[in-house]
Amino acid sequence: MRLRFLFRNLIRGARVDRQLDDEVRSFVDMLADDKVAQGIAPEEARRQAHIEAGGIEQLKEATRDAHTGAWLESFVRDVRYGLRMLARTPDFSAVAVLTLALGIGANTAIFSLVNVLLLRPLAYPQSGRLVHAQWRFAQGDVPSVTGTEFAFWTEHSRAFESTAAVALFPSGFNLVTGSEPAYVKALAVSRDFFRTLGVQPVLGRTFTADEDRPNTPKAVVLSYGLWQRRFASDPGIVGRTIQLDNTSYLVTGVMPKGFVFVLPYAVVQHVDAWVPLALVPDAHDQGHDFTMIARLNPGIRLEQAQSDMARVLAEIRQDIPGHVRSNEGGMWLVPYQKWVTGDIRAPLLILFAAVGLVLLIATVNVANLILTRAVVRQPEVAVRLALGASQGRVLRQLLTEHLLLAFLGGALAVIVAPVAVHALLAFAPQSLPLTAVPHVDLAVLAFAFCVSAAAGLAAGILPAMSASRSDVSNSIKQGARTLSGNSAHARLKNFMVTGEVALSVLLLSGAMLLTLSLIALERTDPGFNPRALSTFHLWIPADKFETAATTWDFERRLLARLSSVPGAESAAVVSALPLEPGLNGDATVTTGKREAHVYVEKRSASPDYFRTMQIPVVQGRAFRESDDASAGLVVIVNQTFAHLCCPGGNVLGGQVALNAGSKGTWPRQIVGVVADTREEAIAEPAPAMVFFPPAQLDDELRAVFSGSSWVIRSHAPLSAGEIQRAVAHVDNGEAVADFAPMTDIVAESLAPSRFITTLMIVFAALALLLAAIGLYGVLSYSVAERTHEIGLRMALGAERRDVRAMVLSDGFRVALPGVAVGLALALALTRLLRNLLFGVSPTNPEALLAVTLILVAVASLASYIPGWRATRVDPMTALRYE
Amino acid sequence: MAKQLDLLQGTLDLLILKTLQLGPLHGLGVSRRIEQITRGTFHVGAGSLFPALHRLEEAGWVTSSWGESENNRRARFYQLTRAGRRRLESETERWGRISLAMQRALAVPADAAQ
Repeated sequence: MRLRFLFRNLIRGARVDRQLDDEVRSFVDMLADDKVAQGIAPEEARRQAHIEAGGIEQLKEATRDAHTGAWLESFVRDVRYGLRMLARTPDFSAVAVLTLALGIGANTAIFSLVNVLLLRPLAYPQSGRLVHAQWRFAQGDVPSVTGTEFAFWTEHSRAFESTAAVALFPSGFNLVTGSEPAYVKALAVSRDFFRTLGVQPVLGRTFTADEDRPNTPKAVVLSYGLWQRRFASDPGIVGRTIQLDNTSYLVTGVMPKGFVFVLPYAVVQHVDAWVPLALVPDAHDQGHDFTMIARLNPGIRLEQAQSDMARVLAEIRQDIPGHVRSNEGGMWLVPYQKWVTGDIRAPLLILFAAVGLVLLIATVNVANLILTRAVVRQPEVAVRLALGASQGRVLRQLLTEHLLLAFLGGALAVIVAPVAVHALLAFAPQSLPLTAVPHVDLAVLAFAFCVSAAAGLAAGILPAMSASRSDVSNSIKQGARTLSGNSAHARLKNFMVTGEVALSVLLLSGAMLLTLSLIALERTDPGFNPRALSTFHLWIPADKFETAATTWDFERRLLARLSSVPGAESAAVVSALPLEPGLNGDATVTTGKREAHVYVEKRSASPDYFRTMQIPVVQGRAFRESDDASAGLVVIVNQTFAHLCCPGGNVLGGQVALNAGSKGTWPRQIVGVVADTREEAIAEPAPAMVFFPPAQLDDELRAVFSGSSWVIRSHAPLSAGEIQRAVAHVDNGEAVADFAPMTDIVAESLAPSRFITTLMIVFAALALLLAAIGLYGVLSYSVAERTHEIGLRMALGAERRDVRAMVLSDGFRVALPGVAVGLALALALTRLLRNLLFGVSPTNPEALLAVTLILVAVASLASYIPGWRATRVDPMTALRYE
Repeated sequence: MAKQLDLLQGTLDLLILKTLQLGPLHGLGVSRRIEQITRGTFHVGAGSLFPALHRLEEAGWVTSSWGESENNRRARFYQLTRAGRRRLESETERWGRISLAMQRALAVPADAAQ
């Protein structure tokens, strides 16, 4: 029933209205007739009838409101009216829409990142059930376990539905298809890896138990990307064998497009293939070489799983007596998603808050614009109130208009958003743990919608409320007089601009601190000389050079060849370069009578390594050619190691043994101490390090140090082609990968800081620009207001510069309190940046001083044009208009 | 002049339905009749009457059509529908229960035992 009327009211609105008009008029006529019958004169009767009925228009309005769908109809009318009003003042509308679009757009772009990185559950089914195991040490959490531990946990734990071990770092393989070898990154995973994640291959299958054992025919699962690129999406790929490192691997399956497994410490995230880990528990207890993820049993809570871990840990200590970890604080389970995004959560939220402040400033600017325009609209509003519109009605209409501005801005922002997101991703650091590509999806659109609505309401509510309370008769009388000197409005606007200035000061302080921090980072000596260094990776196929001896022989020949490349000064090979992820583990140091336990980074480094990297030898000596398998076992340590284990004493001559669980220990003599180098990140202090000469590694240890990073110091830059040729000369079939200058690696390690700092600078600049525009706006308004006064002053002898000074001081009167408040906010809030700052304190006085000076300059600049306009006032004209 | 009391929307609807029970009326007629049957207690102004009439029509309890008034003026006449009659019955009965309960409640002396 109602529906029919709804249609009628909305579609046949004009006809309904005509009928209503007729009905109401007839009512009033009949009322008048009654009065005439009572003896009152016809005109008087009509007048009385009108008054008694309450007025025809008001009656119609009241009745219309009772119709079904009245709200919808009035909403549509409001929107159309609003659009007409906005079109009538295109300057105002354009500026307001653009300002809001800027604020909403920036927020939407950042939100798309937040959405993918923080809010969305991982792309695995029930990803909340995935956990990651970490050892807690005094130095921090270590995400790795040994093979023995993994096997033990899998067997004895009751909390997990399935567990998976994953190699800490991807390994490289040479894939030969056709004539050119290609370099492929593969991650070694245990059999249940895909089952634990809950993802099925899109072709074929994953590994069987047999394939995950050592010394069995090898299998491989390809990524979708590799399948497309190298195998032309051949649907018959499953069951074929491919050659990786000259070994046959059976392709068992292909993973779906977009399948990603994120290791938060990895520098680059993409992996081309997965191979079985083939874990042998006993043999691999030397180092924390794997990382473990698990899926909780249904119904088990994290806390329960945690206590179960403690129980298993006690058991492992009983069963395997040598299983000692120095400074260990137990094994902990962390939700996998939290582990993946842990590091970026805080910086991302700070960026999100910063961009939110930018939107706030934009909203305030628009509110100011609306207030200014409200004065012009006052007579119109007054007439509507006089005609019988309720205040609520007028309020609703004005608010609709303001929301319209906001949604137009939001629409513009959404249209431009994909470009912004694309640009954002282009210079985002490679190490961002993106499990999906941020794009403008439903969640982002919903966010943009909500933010637009909030901005529109925030900007428009106060102006709309004050406008709908207009003093009716006054406004109609004043008619077209636009500048009725509404001083309450002016005070409000000035107050809002002061607030804008305060917020910009806050953002600018943050940006300044981050910039200083970035400069400090870039100036930090990494402990080696990255200039004139070329680096590349080369993966020694495990099957090609079966023993440590043959491997080192190959490396030695290649080193000789590389050193003879024209322009090269020296070459070296190391298991992991500084700023590259490397292996670590426990060590026991015996110096004199003292024994100490240290957690160390371990590397194998060729004799020329320290010379090539220009890492000074502080004590003792570097490796020599004579440090080979027949000589005494030696190691070199770094300064941090020396301080940790024998502060103030001499570490030379001491013995280092890597703890290897149930296996024997490996005591070696310390023959040299080198200067510290930054390893994990430039910002992180140097860890304790132990270097081994490759010639003295046995087969097992060699297998552990399976990566090789090569460095060449040269006068002039080398090309990848030269290097590839040199390698091919020594041994064919290895592909040179990741050829890059060392300076690139250093730069990439700073990429996250640079990303955050750049964004903060952009936001601070936006905020400053908006605040300057706001200040300019209120000053222009005040100059226009005070034309009369200025004219008077000039007529009484004021010079142009006095007038300019007056405007300038007005500007400062608005801006300086904002600066003060902003500085106070900065002192209170910049401590939130502490984790992001390096070498800079959150209350760095130089930074705050610089910010103050910038604000003063900007405020002066913003006052310039209004000041100049003020001097153009012609006293005669100004005084004529009272 | 009749006393003017606040009328709740529901009671106004009931009154209007009641006035239409005997036959169709136009707007002014309804207003006069309400005053008549309530012995002058309620005077419903046009500002409340028109919205109420239209609301009742959209709810389906009355229908309207153009007709001629007693003075040969063109006026909009309202009449009860079948659903409207049923509504009148049920609302009357409900109102009876409410007023009886109120009567009883208000008749209890202030110092009566709980």
